[in-house]
Amino acid sequence: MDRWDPIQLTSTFRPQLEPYETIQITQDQVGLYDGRLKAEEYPNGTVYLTSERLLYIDAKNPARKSIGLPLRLISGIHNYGGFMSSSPKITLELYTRGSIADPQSSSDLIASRDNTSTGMDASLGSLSLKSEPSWVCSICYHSNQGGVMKCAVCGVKKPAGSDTPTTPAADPFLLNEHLYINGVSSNSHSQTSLNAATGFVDVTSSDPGYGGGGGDHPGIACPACTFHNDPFMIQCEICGTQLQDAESVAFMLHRQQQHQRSISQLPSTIAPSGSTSTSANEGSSYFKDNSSTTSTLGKGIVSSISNLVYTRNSPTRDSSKTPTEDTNSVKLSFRAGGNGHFHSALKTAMATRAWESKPKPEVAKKPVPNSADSLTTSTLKLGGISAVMRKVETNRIETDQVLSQAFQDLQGLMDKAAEMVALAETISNRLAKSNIMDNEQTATFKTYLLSMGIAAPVTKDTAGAVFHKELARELVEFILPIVEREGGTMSLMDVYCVFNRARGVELISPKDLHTACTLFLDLNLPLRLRKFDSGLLVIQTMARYSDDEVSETISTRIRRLPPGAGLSAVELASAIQISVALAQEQLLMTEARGLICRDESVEGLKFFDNLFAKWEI
Amino acid sequence: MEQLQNQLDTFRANLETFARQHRKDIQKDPIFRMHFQKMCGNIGVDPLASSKGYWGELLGVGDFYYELGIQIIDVCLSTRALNGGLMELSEVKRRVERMRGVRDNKAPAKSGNSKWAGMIKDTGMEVTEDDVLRSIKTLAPLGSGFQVLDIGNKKMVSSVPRELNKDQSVILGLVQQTNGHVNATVIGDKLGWEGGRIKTALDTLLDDSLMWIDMQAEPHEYWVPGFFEPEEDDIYAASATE
Repeated sequence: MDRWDPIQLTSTFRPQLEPYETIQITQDQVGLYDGRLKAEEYPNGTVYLTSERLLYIDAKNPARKSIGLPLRLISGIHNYGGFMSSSPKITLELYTRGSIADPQSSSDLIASRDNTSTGMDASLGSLSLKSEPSWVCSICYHSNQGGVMKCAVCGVKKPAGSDTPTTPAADPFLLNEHLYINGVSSNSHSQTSLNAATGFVDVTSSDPGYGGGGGDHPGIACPACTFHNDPFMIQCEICGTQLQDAESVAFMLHRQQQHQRSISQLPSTIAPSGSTSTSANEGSSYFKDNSSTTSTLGKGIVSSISNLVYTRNSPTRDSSKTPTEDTNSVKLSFRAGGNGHFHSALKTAMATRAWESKPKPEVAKKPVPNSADSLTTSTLKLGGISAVMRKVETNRIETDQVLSQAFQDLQGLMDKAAEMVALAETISNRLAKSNIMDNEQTATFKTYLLSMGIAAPVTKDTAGAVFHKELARELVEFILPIVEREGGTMSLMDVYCVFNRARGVELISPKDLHTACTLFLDLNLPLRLRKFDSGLLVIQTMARYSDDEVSETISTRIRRLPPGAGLSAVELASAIQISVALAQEQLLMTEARGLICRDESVEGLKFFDNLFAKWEI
Repeated sequence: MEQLQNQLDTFRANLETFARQHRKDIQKDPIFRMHFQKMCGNIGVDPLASSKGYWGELLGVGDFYYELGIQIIDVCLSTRALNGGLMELSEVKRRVERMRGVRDNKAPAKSGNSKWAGMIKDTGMEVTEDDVLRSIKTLAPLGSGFQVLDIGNKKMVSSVPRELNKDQSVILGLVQQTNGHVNATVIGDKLGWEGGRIKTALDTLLDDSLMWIDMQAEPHEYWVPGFFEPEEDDIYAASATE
C-alpha cells in the first residue's frame, strides 16, 4: 500500500484531474486489498480509472482516505471471477520499487519479471521466481524444480498439498523456521542442522556467480578500486566506497531491519549480529563462525534476494505456505459487480499508456471545403441542370432502397428487443413475488433495465447507479456558482438548459437530471431539490434560503411599500432578480404562513401586509 | 438472470450492427425516426429514458431529442410574455425549425433569417410534429409543466404549469372558430351562459395572461394571442430570431 499517494479532491469529493487526464470508468462498492489481506483503512469506496491513474475515494471518509496509484507502476493484471460469497477481484501486480526510478543501475539490482539478464537471476537460477515454482524438500532442503515429484538428492517424494512454490532462499523466514525447529527439537542435531544449512549454502554457493566475483555477470564494479561486487552490495567489500544511491540503500536497509526484527522475535538460537550492510556473502566465511553463521546466512540471503520484494511486516508466520504472487500487489474487490467492464477498461488504459505520450497540441481545424459545394459546382461546370437533376434522382432512389433495407433491419432488431422485454418482464415478476434476491443482483438487474430504456418498475428506491451519483456530483460542481448568482434558487428547467448547453455533446435526459437531483440528500451535497405545491421543481442552495427567511424578507419588503401599494409577482421578480414563477411561489408560501394577504382583481394578483392578524377585537 | 445477460449481449451486438448502418438515417430522416419510435413504443421500451442506455450510446437517438427539448424550451420562454405560455404546436415546430436553419418554404428568405441559414446549411435537419411531441414528453420530469393540450381541434403546447378548467377550454375552443377573438355577447349567444359565468371565465383567462383585452371596442374584445397566425412581419418574428 505504500505505492499509493493521497490525491486531491474537489469540493464534492470527485477527483481533481491533471490536464489531459480523462476518466475512463467508475465503479463504486470496491474494496482494496494489500497483497492478500484486506486493507483495513480502505474497505469500501469508489474507484475511478483515468488515463493516467487509478483512484480510490473512500465512501465514509473521503477527505482523509482517498488515494491514487499511477498506472505506470502496474506490471500485470489478473481477473478473478468470484465464487459464491467471494466477490470478483482484479489483482494488480506492481513493479518493484526502484525499477522505475533508476533504470540504469538496476539491471543488477532489480528482477522485474521479464528482465532475464539480471546477474542474480542467472546465478540464483534456482531462486528465481520466473521459472516454474520450485519446491524445497523437507528432508534435505534441496530445492527442486516444480515439475519434479521426487527430490533430486534424497529421493523423497514431494509431500502432497505443499504448495510451497518458493525456494527457501526466497523465504528467509521459512528457512529460519526450519533451522530453528530442527535446532530445538534435537539439540544434538544442531550440528547436522547447521550442516544441513551449510549444505544448503553449499548448493547455492556452488552456483557460479553467487556471492560476488566471477560468474556470467560481474555485478557492480566499484568506482574506486574496480573490484566487482555482488549486485546487492551497498558498499564495496574491499574499499568501502558507496555503490548504490541513497534510495536503494535506504530500501535495502529497511528490508534488512525488517528481517532483523522478525528474527529477533524467534527464540534466540539465532543471535542476530549488528546490522551492518556489508554482510559478506563469500561462501568461505560461513563455516568459520557457528553462531553468526545463520544470521549472516539469513542476512546474506535477505540482501541477496531483496529484489524479491517483501512487504511482510508481521513476524507471525501463518503457514508454511508463502504466497505465490508477488506480495507487492494490490487487489480490487468488486462487491457490486462491474469487474468485467473495469477489467477491459484497465487493459485498454494500460495498452494506451497515455502517460508516456506527450499531449498533442490541438490541431487547428482547417476549413474543409464543403464537398457538396465542390460537387455541385463541378457538375454545374460539366452537365448543367440535367446533371443536377439526375443526381437528385439517384439520391432519391438510393434513399428509398436504404430505407427499405433499414426497415427490414429495424424489424429484425425490434423483434429481438421484444424478446428481451418479455424476458425482463418475467424476471421482474418473479422478483416482485419472491424477495430473496440480494442487493447485488437487484442492482445489476436494474442497471440492465435502465440501459434498455425500461423504467425500473420493481422497487421504489432509485437505482443508485454510479452514473447518477457521479452526475449529481458533476452537476453540483458546475451549477453551484450559477445558482448562487441567481439568488440561491433556480428552476429545474433552467438548470437543465444551462447544464446541457454546457455539456454540448453528451446530453442528459430530464429524467436523469431528476434522478441525480434526488440523490443530493444522500450524497451530502449542498443543493436540494424542492417541489412547490403547484408542482414546480427548483434547486435551492442549502444555506441561506430557508422558508422562514424568505417569508420574512418578503413581508418586510411589503411593509416598506408606500401605503396602498401592493406587491405583485412580477415586481418581486424584477426587484430581487429571480424568475417570475419563483417569485409567485415565494409569495404564495408567505401567504400560506399568514404574513401577507392577497388582493385578486382583473389587474392581477397583489399582496399586502396582513393587517387582519394584527387587529384586536 | 444469466439468461437476461446473454440475451442482452446478443441484443447489443445486433444493435451495434444496426447502428453502424443506420445511425445517420435515424438522425436525418424523420419518417424513419418516427417508425423507430413507434416500434419502441409497441414493445414497451423508451429509448429516451436515460442517456446512458444502449439506445443513446449507439444510435445517438437521445442527443437529438434532448437538444430539441432545449430549443423548444427556448422558443416557449421567449414568447411567453406574449401568449401566456400557450402556443400552437405547429407554431412551435415552425420556430424550432427556423432556429435550426431549415429554410421556410413559404416565405422568401429574409435578412433576419440569413444569419441562421448561413450557419447551418439546409442539411435536412427537419423536425416533425411527432419529434416535438416526444421531446415535450421527455421534458415532463423537469416539473415545469410542459404539456400538450387539446383545445378544440388544435394541439397547444403549454409551458406553464396550469390546469385549464372546463369553462376555459370551451371558451378557447370557441375562440378558434371565431377568428381569434370573442366578446361577452358572442359567448352568450353561442354557449348560452349567463353573465356571471362568462365574466368569471374571461377574467381568469385574463389573469393567466392567456387573453388580451381590447377596451376600445364596445363590448370589450378578448383576443387569444396563442392562436395568432404568423406573418412575415409579425411581432413574434422580431423577438424570436434575435
